[in-house]
Amino acid sequence: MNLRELLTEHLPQMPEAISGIVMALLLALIPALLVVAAVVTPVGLLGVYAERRLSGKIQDRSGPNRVGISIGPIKHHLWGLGQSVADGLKLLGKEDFVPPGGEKVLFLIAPLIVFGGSLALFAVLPFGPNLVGADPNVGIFYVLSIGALEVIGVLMAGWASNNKWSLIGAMREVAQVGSYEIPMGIAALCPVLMTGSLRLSEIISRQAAEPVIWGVHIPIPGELFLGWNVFAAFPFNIITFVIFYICCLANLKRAPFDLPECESELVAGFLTEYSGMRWGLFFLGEYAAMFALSGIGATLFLGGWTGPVHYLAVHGFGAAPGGIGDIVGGAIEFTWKTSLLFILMIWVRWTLPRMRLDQVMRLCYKYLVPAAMVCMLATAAAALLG
Amino acid sequence: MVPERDVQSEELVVNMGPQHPATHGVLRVTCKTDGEVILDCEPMVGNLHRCKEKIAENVQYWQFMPYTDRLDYLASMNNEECYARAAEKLLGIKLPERMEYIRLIMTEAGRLSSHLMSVGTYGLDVGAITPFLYCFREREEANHLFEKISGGRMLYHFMRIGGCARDLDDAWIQRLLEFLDRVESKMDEYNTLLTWNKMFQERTMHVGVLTREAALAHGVTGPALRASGVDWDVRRDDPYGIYHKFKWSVPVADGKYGTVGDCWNRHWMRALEMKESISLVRQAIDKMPKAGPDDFQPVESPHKPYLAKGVPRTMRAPKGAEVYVRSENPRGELGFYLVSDGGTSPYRCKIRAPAFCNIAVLPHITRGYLISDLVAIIGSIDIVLGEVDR
Amino acid sequence: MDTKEIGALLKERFGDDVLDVFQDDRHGHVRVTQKVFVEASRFLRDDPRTRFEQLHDLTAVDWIDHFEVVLHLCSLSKRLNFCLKTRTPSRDDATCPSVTSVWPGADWHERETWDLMGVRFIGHPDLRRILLPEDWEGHPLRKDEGNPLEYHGIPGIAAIRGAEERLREEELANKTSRAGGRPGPDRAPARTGGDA
Repeated sequence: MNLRELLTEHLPQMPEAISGIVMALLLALIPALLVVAAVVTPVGLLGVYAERRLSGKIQDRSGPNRVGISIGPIKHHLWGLGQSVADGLKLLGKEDFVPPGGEKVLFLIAPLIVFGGSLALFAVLPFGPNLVGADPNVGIFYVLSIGALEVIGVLMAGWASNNKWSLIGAMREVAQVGSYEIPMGIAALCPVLMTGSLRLSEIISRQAAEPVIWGVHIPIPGELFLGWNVFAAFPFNIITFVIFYICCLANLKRAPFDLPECESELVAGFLTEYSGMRWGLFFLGEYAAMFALSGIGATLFLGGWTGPVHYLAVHGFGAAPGGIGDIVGGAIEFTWKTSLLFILMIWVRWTLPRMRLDQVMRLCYKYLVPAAMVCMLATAAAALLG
Repeated sequence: MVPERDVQSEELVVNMGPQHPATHGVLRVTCKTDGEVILDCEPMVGNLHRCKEKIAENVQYWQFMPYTDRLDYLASMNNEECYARAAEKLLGIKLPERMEYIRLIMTEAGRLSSHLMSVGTYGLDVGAITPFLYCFREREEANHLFEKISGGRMLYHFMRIGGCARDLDDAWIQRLLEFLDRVESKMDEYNTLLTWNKMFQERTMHVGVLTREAALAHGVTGPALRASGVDWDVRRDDPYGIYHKFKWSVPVADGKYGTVGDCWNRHWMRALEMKESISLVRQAIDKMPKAGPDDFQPVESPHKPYLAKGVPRTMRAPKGAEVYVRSENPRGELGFYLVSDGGTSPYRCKIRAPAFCNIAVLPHITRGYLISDLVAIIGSIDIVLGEVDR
Repeated sequence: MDTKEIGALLKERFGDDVLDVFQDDRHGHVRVTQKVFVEASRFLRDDPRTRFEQLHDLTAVDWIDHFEVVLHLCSLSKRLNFCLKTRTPSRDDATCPSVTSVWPGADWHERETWDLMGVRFIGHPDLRRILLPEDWEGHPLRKDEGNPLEYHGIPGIAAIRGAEERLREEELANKTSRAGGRPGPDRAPARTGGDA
């Protein structure tokens, strides 16, 4: 549809068009809300649970293991799975405190923007074949730009809190996340170069095809590891994947890059003045974004929902393409890869000390950006060869 | 064309504390910063002032003992030992040899426990949470041990003037030895996790350098002084108790890693001192003599303390007598200056708190560093506010 | 080298300004006049025979008619300990020259002594309270300092003690009246209700 068509054909039928748009929005909104309720919140809560449980294991303590279910005769501790829910309920009941002297409106909407940003990432996350909200032709571009939305929210939170620690935290966030967008974007370009498309589904299907490494055709199904982008332009894309992962950690403010909120220096950074569910939204958003970016990483470099489990479902159990077996196999495939990356994030956090801001910046501009550039050039050469 | 304009910038005054997770209590540091760079900072102490010296003038000598627990509440044994020794010197009480051994064992175990805490919380200060919990796991065992012998987990009131609360029994000593073995076996693990961690080193090496001259001029003592390359340990160079009977090495920073006097070296001195304390306790347990027949007063009931013979019930020092006694505490040299006017309570009791002197040097070593470094520097100086503010 | 020998060194250098050299088995000290206090400190720090690099402690003792400023020095290279004393001219004129120029570490010690004991150190760069709040009145370690009744609405120990004594008196009065046969006002109704 170009401009002329819009002006000559669609404009005269505008009322219908508007009502159509409204209907489409409403129709889209309900499933979107359902998706939020069904996917994002459990992912966030499970993420919190996993973090606490794993950190407990790492630190030789139990972690949450009591809050379970108790309905009539059904009593079970459920390994503490209810802890996140209980905490969420507790947060809901807390006072929603707005610091006096702060920018009230900005303060109130900042967590919504952060949460909304990580929510929007789920729209393009390909959980499995046909199991995706949207598959725009600018998929990666969408991910990178929506991911940057969080910075605005955090800056708003830091500024509106009327607290010097919050402000310093927000400034750190802008400096850090803004910088790490660069190597992250360059790293994300490598799969794009291999595929020739920004569309996530095409990037996935390219990884399922028979692998070509440096122009050498390897006659095995690509789903069995070798087709994955992480092995493309071997070994450069392994480095690219590591760079991408480090950038994910930095963008998510995960330790060792948790400078914007680092507890021992800035009290709680931009979160200092937040309480109750608004604070909880930041956290839910963080864990949802962790899951989403892990999923994007798995999609870009580890074949997304294609891989050995999916291969087994299709070729071993003879699931029809697009059928239920195909979808379930793909979803399992996607989940294990994403969970692996997710757990790695937790593991890193509880092992390493925090970096300093100048070190974080040096790592970005002196090491990650040049390394990503080299990898991109090598990937381009490999793409030319094959 | 856009006209050029000066960007307005101004210095930011940030109040760190007294309610801040990294100031180890109620220290308040006002920092003048330019962005994140610290131009100047001033520690404001006194939030935990509890008039200890005034209290000492109003209670009897023996009654002041529990108050000394609350000075450096992470190493209460060491405070008690120092005060007990000061009072004994003032009152002219001689200790049996076994009691000296008991004191050495308890103070060195206290030092170990205190350093476990310091090393762990230093990890926490620079963002490594897991080593902190590991150290706390071990410290918990130390707390259990002290609780078993004294009844208190942190504030023991174990030492008495002329003795201590209880004799050490064999079962307890056995448990102490097991604890030492466990800590020693874990030490390398903690060092791998924290001390030799590249990121930790990046954060702490060459940061907050306290030169040898500045350390001496400002009266810095303890591990911080030795990290600045001064080979000085009161236990060895001005020995008290029975330290002269033992062989151990005093760790001193030699510039092999990092800069002499930086945060990492202060941390490293503590990690090394833990090993020396373990060795000292083991030696003392090996050599500890049995109590002689005339050494101690008979203990009539389990509630009565274990005192040397000849400790008077009413303690009175001669008029005008004064003593200054110091000991090597985990945080530096603790000193007690007691003056008597012939009464049953001190006429003047001055507590020379190591952390008070050490934290005074903070403004001189933080200028030009970042806020993150300030946290690392405060953590490496290792203060306890109970002692700073008294 | 013990206190006597260091005292001899000081006598040799400062003559009659060294007022008192004292040593017993507990403690030893040398007392000098205020005039040469800073000079003597610098001499002790710089002389190659003593080299007291470190000011270990600085405090003051209230001897009613004057204050005695007490310095504990420590020489790390010579392994010496030493105590140097001087007296303020009188109780009202509680002043003493500052040794911050000799040992920068004296800064906080002198502030603390000013704060708690009220000895004013002449020449200190920034003599203000350190442990107590800025608006505190008096110097609590002085022997004539009473307990404050209140501070910013917080009752002091003296006020609390007074209240306690009043309470105790009231209680005593209650007890005697109860012994006299009158039922206690709080418990009597409950008892009778239970019986009925």
